[in-house]
Amino acid sequence: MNKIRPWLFLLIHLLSGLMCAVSVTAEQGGFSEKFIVSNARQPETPLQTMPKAGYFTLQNHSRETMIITAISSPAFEKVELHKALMVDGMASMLLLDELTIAVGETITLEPGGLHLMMFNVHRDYAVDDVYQMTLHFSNQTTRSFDMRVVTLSDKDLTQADMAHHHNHGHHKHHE
Amino acid sequence: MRSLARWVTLSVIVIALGNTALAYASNERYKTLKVPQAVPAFSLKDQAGNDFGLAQLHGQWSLVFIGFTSCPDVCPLTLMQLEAVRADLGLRFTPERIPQIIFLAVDPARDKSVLGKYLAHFHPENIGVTGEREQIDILVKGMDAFYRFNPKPGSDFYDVVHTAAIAVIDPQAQLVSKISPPFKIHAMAEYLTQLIRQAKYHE
Repeated sequence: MNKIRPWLFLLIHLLSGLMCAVSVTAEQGGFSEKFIVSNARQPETPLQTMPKAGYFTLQNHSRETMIITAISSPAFEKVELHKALMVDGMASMLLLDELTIAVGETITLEPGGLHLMMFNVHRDYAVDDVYQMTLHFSNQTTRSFDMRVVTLSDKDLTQADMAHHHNHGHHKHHE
Repeated sequence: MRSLARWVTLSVIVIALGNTALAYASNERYKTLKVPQAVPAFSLKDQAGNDFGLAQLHGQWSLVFIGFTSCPDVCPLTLMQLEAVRADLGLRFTPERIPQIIFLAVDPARDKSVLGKYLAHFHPENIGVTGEREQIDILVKGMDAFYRFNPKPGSDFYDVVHTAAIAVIDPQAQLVSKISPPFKIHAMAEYLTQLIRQAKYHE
């Protein structure tokens, strides 16, 4: 028994180390791979003081429905989720409280549709500068990614043509 | 010979169907007024502080749309789309027949001081106009349009709900058409080309 004890001790150590590693991977890399944020960009604005719009694509390859309940960035005082609406020939903006991305669903935030609205930037950002954005989910997890400052491109114009025909997922608007 | 006649007949049918489809599309998104409406006299200022009224609409085609400078999504997009339309029309017409793009800024408290920088960001030839609320309202009414401020509870942002259509004003300062979104650049350019050519034909 005395001979076995050191080996048992070593085995327990190894197992606990392995479990820690798996846990960290699940929280960082594993989750990241299953909830993909891509093409995150913010068109430059004529003046730094103006509110800015942000666009990106979300892909939920995880096994659970993901609900975004808040968005934050160290670069801005406040970040909101908005949707451009066209009802009876009138253009308006809807403030969303949350955005649900179902399992297997892809949602695209793009000009003329769903987009981020970012208020009171803390410092000036030029084209190609990058800052961090964080999505907060209802399951208490977060997902951070880089937003890049870009010039609005011809591709965005084409995408905007399509925006009115896409299903942008389920969302709740501000009451 | 009979084969040629058959081809001609077929071509006529295809063209007729195409025109019918175009006319249907026109009804949906491109509303040409049966009777042009004269824009009433108004007095606003452009981004450089110059007077802008009926005189600045006379003698040139104009595309007017309602917006506000703190709109970061739809307004920049519309400005870029109109710029693309203008570039397209530049290949078809001489400069004096290419419409001027007019951004009617309906939130003067926030727009007036930044209008010049805002528009220059998109194109140096863009015209931005704003001024007294009463005068803005005259032009908005002349465009057969509407807007209202829409504060958002719990948000720092207040939206401006407004008519999304672009007003087409002819060189006699008459509202002749309204184009509704989504704006398809090539289709818009085609429609405006027809409108401008027909107007020249009637001159």
